Amino acid sequence: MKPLRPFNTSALSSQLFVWILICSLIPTIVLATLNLQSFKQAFIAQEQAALNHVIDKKVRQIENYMDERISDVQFISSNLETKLAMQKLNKHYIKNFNQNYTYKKIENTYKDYFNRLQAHGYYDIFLVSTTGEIIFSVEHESDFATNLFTGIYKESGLSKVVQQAKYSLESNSSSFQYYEPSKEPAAFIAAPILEDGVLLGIAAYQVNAEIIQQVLLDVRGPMHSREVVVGSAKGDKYSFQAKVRNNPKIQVGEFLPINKAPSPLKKAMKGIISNSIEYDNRNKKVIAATRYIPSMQWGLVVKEDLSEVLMVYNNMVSLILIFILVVLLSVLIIAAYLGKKISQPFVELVDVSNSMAQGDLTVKAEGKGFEESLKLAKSFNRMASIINTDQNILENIVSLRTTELQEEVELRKGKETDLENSNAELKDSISQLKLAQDQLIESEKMASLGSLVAGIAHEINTPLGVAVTSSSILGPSIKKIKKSLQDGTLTKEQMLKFVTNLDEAALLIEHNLNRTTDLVKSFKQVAVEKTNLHKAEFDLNRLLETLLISLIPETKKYNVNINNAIPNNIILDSYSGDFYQLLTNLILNSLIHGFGKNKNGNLVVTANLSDHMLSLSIKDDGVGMHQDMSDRIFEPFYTSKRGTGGSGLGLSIVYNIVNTKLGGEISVISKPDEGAEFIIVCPDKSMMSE
Amino acid sequence: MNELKLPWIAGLHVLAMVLGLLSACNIQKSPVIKVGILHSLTGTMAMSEAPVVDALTLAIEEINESGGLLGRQIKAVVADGASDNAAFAHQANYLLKEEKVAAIFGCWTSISRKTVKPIIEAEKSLLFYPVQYEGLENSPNIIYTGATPNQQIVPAVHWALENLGKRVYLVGSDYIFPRTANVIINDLLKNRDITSLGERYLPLGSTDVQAIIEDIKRLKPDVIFNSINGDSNRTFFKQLHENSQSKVLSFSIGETEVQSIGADVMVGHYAAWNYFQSINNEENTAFVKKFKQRFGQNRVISDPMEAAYISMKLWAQAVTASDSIDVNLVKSALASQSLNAPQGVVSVDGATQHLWKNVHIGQADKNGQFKIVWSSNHLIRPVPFLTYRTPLQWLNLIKGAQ
Repeated sequence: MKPLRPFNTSALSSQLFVWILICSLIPTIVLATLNLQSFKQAFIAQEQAALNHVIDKKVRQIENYMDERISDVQFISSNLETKLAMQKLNKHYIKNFNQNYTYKKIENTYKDYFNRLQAHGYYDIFLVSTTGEIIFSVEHESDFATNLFTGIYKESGLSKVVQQAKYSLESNSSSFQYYEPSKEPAAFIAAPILEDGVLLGIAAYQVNAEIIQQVLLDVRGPMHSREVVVGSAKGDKYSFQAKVRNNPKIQVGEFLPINKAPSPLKKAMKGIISNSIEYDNRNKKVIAATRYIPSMQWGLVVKEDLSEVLMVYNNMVSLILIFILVVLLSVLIIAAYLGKKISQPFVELVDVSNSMAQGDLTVKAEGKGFEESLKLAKSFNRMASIINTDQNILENIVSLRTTELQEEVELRKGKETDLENSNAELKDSISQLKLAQDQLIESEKMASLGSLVAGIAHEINTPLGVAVTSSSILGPSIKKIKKSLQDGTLTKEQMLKFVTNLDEAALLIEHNLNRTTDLVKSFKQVAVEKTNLHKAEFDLNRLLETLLISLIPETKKYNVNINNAIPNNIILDSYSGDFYQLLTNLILNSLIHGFGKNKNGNLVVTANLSDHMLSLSIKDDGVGMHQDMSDRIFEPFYTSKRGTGGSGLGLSIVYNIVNTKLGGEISVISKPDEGAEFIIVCPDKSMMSE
Repeated sequence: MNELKLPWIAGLHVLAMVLGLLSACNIQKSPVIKVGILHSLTGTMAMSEAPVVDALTLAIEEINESGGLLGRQIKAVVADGASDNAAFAHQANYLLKEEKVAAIFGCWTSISRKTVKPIIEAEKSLLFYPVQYEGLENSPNIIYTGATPNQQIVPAVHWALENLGKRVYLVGSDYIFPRTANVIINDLLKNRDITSLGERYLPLGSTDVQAIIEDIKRLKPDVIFNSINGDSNRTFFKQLHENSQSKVLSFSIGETEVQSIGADVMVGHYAAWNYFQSINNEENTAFVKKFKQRFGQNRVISDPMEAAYISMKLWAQAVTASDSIDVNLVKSALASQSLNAPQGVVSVDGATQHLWKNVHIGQADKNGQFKIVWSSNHLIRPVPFLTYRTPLQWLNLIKGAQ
């Protein structure tokens, strides 16, 4: 087996496992997490709202209860009966004595009245004098007949409410505090007894602790952990104001250090209204709502264990975890099963094809498993048999084709040789062509020399003709004179006429023969120069001057004024023959093509030497030419006068001379009807070695 | 691993989109919540009232720093009452009708409060009034965060009679609070069979204290109950300091006024308040520190300033609790609010719209601070109409004073 490669070639079952897992678990987990999170928040928010509702209701209950008690006290204190009792008892009260007869009589008179009031739910009722003496008590506990401002109970809640009633002239209440005379926690309410604004005394109630505890601790509801905690702070101490459910050891009204108070209660006692998740006195996480009840100076907490609030949520979480586990397991099993089942036909086919690879084409795949795998096996088998058949046919075809190909290869080899041969032939023809071109150029040169000789002959012919005519005239004249002389008929007059004629003829002959000599001299020089293949120094102006003379036979055919404007001092160290050649060609080219026989015009040759570079210009004001013509003008065999004598090689020769021999460049500037200017730029010393 | 990347990336995209949507839902437009501050910044009351604006500003800044209200910032619109009734009326109308403020925090003198009262009631808005006053009022549209007489005057008078002496002289500015305060004080004196040695009133802003000083020089009272308001106190205490040994118990002199009058002439005199800057607890220490950092180290804090600070905090708590700035909802939420204030626990009395408060008596020292010599150690129920007369009797009684 080959080692497992990365994922893309790993086993089918593991691929299936991963894919099914991704498809099933990712949405499940994402949705579950999102949902659970919002569920949790919703649970907590809902419970907080419920707690707010409960605690607000509790606060109202307590405040209503206390308001009722306060109105009771106010009713008692403003009642005429009470005022009378207060006045009368005060009058006959004696401190620290078993009360006298009159007091007891008065007390008995009012006992019924106060007993009836006590039945409204009070532990005890007191009447206190303005100086703080408890002058009346229903229960007659140990507090009776003591002084609340100076006596042993001056720190009690009763003392506080009585003092406040005295100082503020308003009713008020105290929180629960352990009260020694009753041996239990007690809270008091007091109200001033006033007559026309004058304080007669203070009436006070001892609140029945049982009733208010019932009101406080009633937390019926769906939550078992719901609990009311009430505390009251006094300086750096605090006390629980109601029994604490989960800690029966705590005494109501017993002072404890405030820094040990559980956090929600601490908040409540500071007057902070809150509703949050905190740790309570058991160090358990709770949802706690806090309120403050000013009339009792109570901090009130209603709390529930977070674990109970979130029980449903936690159940949901574990359910979802179990669900995910089940999904995981089933995915594993399904993936393994499916993987095995799906891969079965593949494994079989692999075996079959392995056998085939080893040459056994007769094995057959069975394709057990699915409809698709059966089809696959069938088509595989068919393919195998077709391959088997086709293989034989193919082998035949291949051997046939091989023979054919071999033949073809031979053929191609032959063709290749042929090609090589014709290639060599082509090369030969090209070099022959080149040779022919050179010969052509050479013959063109000869041709121009020929025409030059023809021109020379013609030029010399004229003066020679005149000389011949003159001398031919002289023969008969001399014969005539000779005869006359022999005859003796010669007259002086006749002789004189003869001599005159002879003189004239001699003069004419001399003149014409001189001219012939000049011409021949000049032609000779041109011919010599033109064929001069050696490098030498020469004056360009003089060269042109001689050239123009030698060209007269050609130039006189045209009505063109040729102006040699080359300065005198241009001395070149070059091939004068080449300059003759190219100037001849350019001048004749200009005359023939720029002017023709019928056109008048000018042709100017100028030159300029600076920095050892010669610039030579041959400019005419002839017919000029088009761009496409000037582009091709230096090509060999290009001519506009083919058939009328132009060979098309003149300018090509010029181009060759300038480029190859003089090492310069030639260009032409021309437009139709605006003449043409050929400009040659080359060094004044040829670089060509001889 | 190409096959693995695609679903992860797709999953992350979906998650990001979901989160994006969720956060987009939370983004809201949040215009500011405007509140009106209406105090005298000029005139005779500016000495007392201007610092109250600073206390309110501090409270607003604290609320805004901790995220504002209902996700919105509070913006204070400060209006100058200019120690003048017409100005108070005009500005109250402006704040309510033009600026459409959610509530007004303001007024000091009872006259200014009584001027604003019908306006605030007609507009069914809320006024937070931060100063101790004569009581005898119970507007459904005013939250009184200063003391009622039973939370200041009544206990203070009893304390003074038992600790300073029974020869009593009364002075006050000539308007409703001092007049009513003295009615109550006279009731309390009568209750103990005492008659005051004399009783004199000064017009607000007057410096004509000569007659009073002459009286005091002549009568040498043990204690002078002082309800003079505004900068008349400056002249009064200066003259008194030069001419008499009598102790003064003031009902309208706080740290701000001591600083303005001069601590040297105030040393040894008393004041009764629900708050003194010298109260020693965590909240107050932090409050004083914050105030001084914000407004200057030489600044002092008086009871009405703290009461104003409390009022803003309570209003904010009520707005949060009711999730609205609607006056009715806020008022109903206010009824059950309590607060761990610099002075200690305070709690709103739903029935009267006043606060349950402690009361202290302090003696001025040479630093312009009060040393607390007596405390109620007990929250006192606010009673705007002292119960020894019926409300009707009270209203008839003070008709003359008005």
